Amino acid sequence: MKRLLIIGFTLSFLFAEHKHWSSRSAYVLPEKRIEIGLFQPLRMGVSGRKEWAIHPVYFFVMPNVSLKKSLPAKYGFAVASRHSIIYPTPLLNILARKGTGGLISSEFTFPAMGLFNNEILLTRKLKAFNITMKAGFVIGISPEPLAKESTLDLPIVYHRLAPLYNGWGLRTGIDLGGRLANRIQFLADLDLHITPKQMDLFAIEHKGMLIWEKSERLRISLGYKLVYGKYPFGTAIHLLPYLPMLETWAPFVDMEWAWDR
Amino acid sequence: MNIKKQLSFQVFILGFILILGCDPIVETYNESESAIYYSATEIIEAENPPENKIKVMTWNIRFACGRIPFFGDACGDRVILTEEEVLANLDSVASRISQETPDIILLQEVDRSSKRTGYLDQIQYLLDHTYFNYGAYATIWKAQFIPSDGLGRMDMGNVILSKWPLENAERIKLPLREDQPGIVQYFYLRRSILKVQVKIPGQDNFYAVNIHATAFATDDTKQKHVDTYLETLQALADEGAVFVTGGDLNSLPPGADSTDFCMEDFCDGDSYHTINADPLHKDGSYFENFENEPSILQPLYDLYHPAISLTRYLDSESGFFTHAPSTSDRNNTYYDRKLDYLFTNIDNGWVVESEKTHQDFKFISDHMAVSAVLELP
Repeated sequence: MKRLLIIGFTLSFLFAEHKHWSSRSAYVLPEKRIEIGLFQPLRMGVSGRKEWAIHPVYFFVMPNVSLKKSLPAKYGFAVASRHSIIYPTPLLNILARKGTGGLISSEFTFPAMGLFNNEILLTRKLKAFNITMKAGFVIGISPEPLAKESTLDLPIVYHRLAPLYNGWGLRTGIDLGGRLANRIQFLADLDLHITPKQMDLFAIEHKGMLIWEKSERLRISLGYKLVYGKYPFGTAIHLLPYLPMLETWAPFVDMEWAWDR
Repeated sequence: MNIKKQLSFQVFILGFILILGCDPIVETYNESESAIYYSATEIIEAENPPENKIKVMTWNIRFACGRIPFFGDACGDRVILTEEEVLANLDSVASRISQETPDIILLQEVDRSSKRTGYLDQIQYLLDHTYFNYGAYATIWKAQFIPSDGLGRMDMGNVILSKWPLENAERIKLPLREDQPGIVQYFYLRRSILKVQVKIPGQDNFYAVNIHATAFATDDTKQKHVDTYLETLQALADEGAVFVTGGDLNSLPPGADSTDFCMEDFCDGDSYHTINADPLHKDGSYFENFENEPSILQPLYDLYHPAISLTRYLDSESGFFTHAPSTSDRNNTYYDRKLDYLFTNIDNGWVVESEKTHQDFKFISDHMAVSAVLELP
């Protein structure tokens, strides 16, 4: 156990945060700063106390918006609340089709429904790293009960959609970051998704990233995600991204750009 | 522990954790592998076979789908069955098996962790809802996720259930179809033969062999499957083993009066047998895709003893039909061809007139079971 803790601590050093770049912390982007990534949302700092974000890639098939709002600091912690709304219906109905690419059976049609995510973030800067703790809940609202057979039983996706079937879910997690060198940072997080009530589900997700900050305008990251969770077929562990046919894991690569309005 | 050793240990532990997560999306196999063993929750000690005779059955149970219009083989829209549907169909399967009381049963298309059947382990369910004690399983289709038609996770295969203990259970790989694009082939079925030694009291070297050959290949894959099957049986015979074998061969008996069921099986909007039709024939409904396909099973009839002789079959074909897809429901036709067989290498092993084609099972699966009584040496 002690050794595993050492590993965790070692990994935790992987995450740090440049003062200009957004992160999963309680800090919000400076006013007028805008960031976007290949797989990251478009984020925009407003008035130094608010940060709006949307995922533009998904927006037209899964409208979404998120607001992070800075709150007064407490006990040495920066504090923020984050609220998001996701409307997954169009995307799910696109995926529910016949033939190749049909991830959900075309037997199912999804009604207009939404996910409402609310969480509190607490961040503290320690000597060598930042630590962010977060906790919140998700409300899933659907006008009619969804067929339990219509779930998309894939890592990451399944547990995020579970509140639509269950009505609600809980989220908590911790992010740790640190700077390895002038332009190199590491980031590690551990998130717990719980969907209680009739579904009795959980997922533990861990992400590790190495980030190279070329400048205040461009950064490139690569990393992995490890997901251990309970699904309708039992528990499973997945290391992502995983390449079918090549049967191998490969690191994900992301690029982010930033500019000021 | 110095820093270097500590780091090495951490890397080892982390690597081990990561490897755990590296299950392939699609399971691939060696030529021969151990099959998976099962046992009933409650073991009922089996008696010696009375008069040295055992009853054997083969049945493709269509993953407890009954006659539901499944998308893949019945022109239907259904992909994911409800728990109630699966349990009702599986109870019907268990009930019919318990009525017929075979000592050994060869099952095809049995799901054990598939999205389409609610991830129910049908092998364990059948063991716990019949009198069988032991089972062996060899997958023919296993994938963490199939990104087509909403199929999702899949684990389907061949099963042998027995009253007596099973040993040396082996999964023998059958060649893949070669008439498909690579990405389709990757996610498609990887068929197999299941071979297992059955420890029947008084029998030192008795085997059961179960096959489910390709249904939809339009090239000579079926010939390769039958060739591998014959090699497997020959190897057993060469070892001095006695065996009962069978399954869903997806082939017609030599001399069958029709080899073309395209017009019986078509879906609404399909067009076959016309100049512009592409394909010209419906996959799985046409049995002359390559030279000699109509007589592909002749070597089996020549080398081994069928539960239903060819002469008997040809005298009255319709009484021995075992299959018609659910598309034929519209004509109230539930069986119009024979695809399911039992053979043995025991001379005069089949008890005369013990064989039965269970056409009364027509609503439980799109295949009818075949059973017969075998007198052991």
